[in-house]
Amino acid sequence: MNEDPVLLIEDNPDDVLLTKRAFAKANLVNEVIVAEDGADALERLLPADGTPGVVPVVILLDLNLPIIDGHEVLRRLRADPRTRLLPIVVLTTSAEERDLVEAYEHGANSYVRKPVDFIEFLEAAKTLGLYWALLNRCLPHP
Amino acid sequence: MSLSVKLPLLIGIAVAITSISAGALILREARGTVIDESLRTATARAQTYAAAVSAHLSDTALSLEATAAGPGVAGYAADAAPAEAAAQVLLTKSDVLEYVMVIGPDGTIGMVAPRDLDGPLTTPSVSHEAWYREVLDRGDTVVSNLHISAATHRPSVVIATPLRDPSGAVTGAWVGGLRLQAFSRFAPVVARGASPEEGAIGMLTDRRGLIIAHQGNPAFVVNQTDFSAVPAVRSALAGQTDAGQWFNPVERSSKLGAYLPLPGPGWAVVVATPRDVALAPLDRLITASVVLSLGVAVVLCGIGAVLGRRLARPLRRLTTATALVAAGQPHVRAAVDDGEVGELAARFNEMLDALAQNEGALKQRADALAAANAELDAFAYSVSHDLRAPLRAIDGFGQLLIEDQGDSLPPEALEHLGRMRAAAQRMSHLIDDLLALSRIAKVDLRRNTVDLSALAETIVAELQVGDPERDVSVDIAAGLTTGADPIMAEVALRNLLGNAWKFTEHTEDPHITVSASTVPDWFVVADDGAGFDMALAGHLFEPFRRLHSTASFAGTGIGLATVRRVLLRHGGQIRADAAPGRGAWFTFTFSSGAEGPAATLPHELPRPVSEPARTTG
Repeated sequence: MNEDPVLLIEDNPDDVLLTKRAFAKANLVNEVIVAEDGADALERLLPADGTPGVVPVVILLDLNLPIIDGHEVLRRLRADPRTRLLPIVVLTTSAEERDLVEAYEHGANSYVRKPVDFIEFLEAAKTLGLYWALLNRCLPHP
Repeated sequence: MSLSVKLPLLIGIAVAITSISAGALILREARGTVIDESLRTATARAQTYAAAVSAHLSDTALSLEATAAGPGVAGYAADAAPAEAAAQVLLTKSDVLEYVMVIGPDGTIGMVAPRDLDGPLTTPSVSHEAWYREVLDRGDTVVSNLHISAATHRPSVVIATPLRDPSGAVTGAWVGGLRLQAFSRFAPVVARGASPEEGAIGMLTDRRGLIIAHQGNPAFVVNQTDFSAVPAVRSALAGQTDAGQWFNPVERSSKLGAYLPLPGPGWAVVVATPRDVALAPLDRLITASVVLSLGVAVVLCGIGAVLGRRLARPLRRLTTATALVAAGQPHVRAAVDDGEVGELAARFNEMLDALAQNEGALKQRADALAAANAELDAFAYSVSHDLRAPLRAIDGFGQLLIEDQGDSLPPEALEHLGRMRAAAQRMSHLIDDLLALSRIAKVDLRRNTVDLSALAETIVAELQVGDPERDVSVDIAAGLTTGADPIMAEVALRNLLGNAWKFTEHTEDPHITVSASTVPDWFVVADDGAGFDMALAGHLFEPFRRLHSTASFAGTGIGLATVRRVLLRHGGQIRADAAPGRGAWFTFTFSSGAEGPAATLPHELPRPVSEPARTTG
């Protein structure tokens, strides 16, 4: 099991709380780091002072973010060699086809729509956690 | 071709055609007239000529006869003086006599006067001459054929009258040799032009067709030329009098003229003009009319060119203006002149002004529409994100409350929390359905062949999976295909079948059928479920309009509005027939302009057939 943290990029504190709760309920032990907006996320992953950033087991990215939106975050992460190969799962409320297409075009590894029904949401979070933290094999740290 | 070329060309062609056809008609008439006139003149001249020749011949014959009977001539052998005196008188009086001879009984030439003729006699006797034997035989005055005169050594014609002794027996002949050149002068014709060949000429031939006199060419006489092959001569010698056209093989030219036989000696008299000379006036007429027509045509072409240019100028200006407008310069206006084209230009300008105004209004409207659409788009996007997030919070924290504090809550509170979560989820569905409805209006329509039967099978199978306890008898006709956007067709069919599935929920032994209508390209989805009152059918396809309470049937009331929008975007139609408690019957088509089947009255609604049943579940 990969001990690296999960990076949750999400501005809605309700969703942050519910997501953390869902992971806990799924017995996911990885630390969940929360970035509240795009700029915050980029600073953590690609620090401006050149120090090595956070290397999460998976990034859960919301699209509807203030300041720098999810698509732009995705684009910048994929443009930088340090984060180019990190697994990124878009976790969003939107079911719009254009969001889906754009996310995959910018190199998202997966696209999951957050269900309104919390029980379904729990199921989705559990599956996601199990898959990315337990099953998926990442590249070794540089 | 431009107007300034077309107009003169048209005028020129019209004038040319008119003058050529008029000219041809006139020339046809004129030709007849010219020929008739020419023949008439020739006939008159031939008659005059013949009369003159006849008069001189008969005068000469009479003079000879008179002197022959007188004293002294017959006795020339004894004393030549009286005969010579008589001859001298004859020669002096007559302008056609060249010489006079006395012939003895045996044909010897006894005397010739005047004595100074060209050289000596070629022969002392004329006994071999036909005319001499004729005189002897007939005992009457004879006019000879052309022959070589023994006295002049030249072709000659003589008039011979018998000399008689007192008993009346013929003892010789008193002969007058004719000056043939004189006969050319009698022809009442003045040759025109430099050469006599160019005018009408008169000619005489003897009975054999040899030329006695030829006004045009005296050499014919000298050479004793035979004209018997000339048709006019032949006809005259055969006794015919006529006028007409013929070919003269001796002179090798076509002639136009008249001919007649000379009574008495039986000579041929011909007056003829070379055909081209006779028709020369006609040629002049042709030349004149051609020159005149061409001149008129050229002048009119010139006028046409000027007119065409003047007419075309405003048209050209208008054309330039239209070309500029078409090339994307909408503010160009045509120059306005007087006249029809000017009026056209003015109207054109008005039209451009109106268009510019309309275009402005249209652009404003299009901009407003685009802005509204963009706003709507942003709104829909925002709805999908921002309206759902709070719902998730409501549902999520409700659930957390149940999980965390469920044990300490009274059952009533738990039920309220359940209702709260259900409401949040219903609102989520509502948002999804609304977005689907707005998406139908937005996406491009790509028409393809859609297998409705297969699509219905898939949808029904999914409905069954989502609702495994239901036992619905579904009958889907095979081979239902239509031209539609596959994704939209699925949305429509999913909603219709979903409705049928939903509204048969409280029906015992429910049936759903998917079939073709009696009208091609129309399809029917029917159920025997709850149905509805036809009085409310008008509101059926409005968004959020529900004809049943949420308590009895779940739903957002957007499904049928979406179905109708799908069909409308295809240009198709949908109609609902129903009766409360008996079921609903949706008839629809994806094809535009198709006339639908007649409305089915509620009491006629058949119970959807399921035999042979394809039962699902």
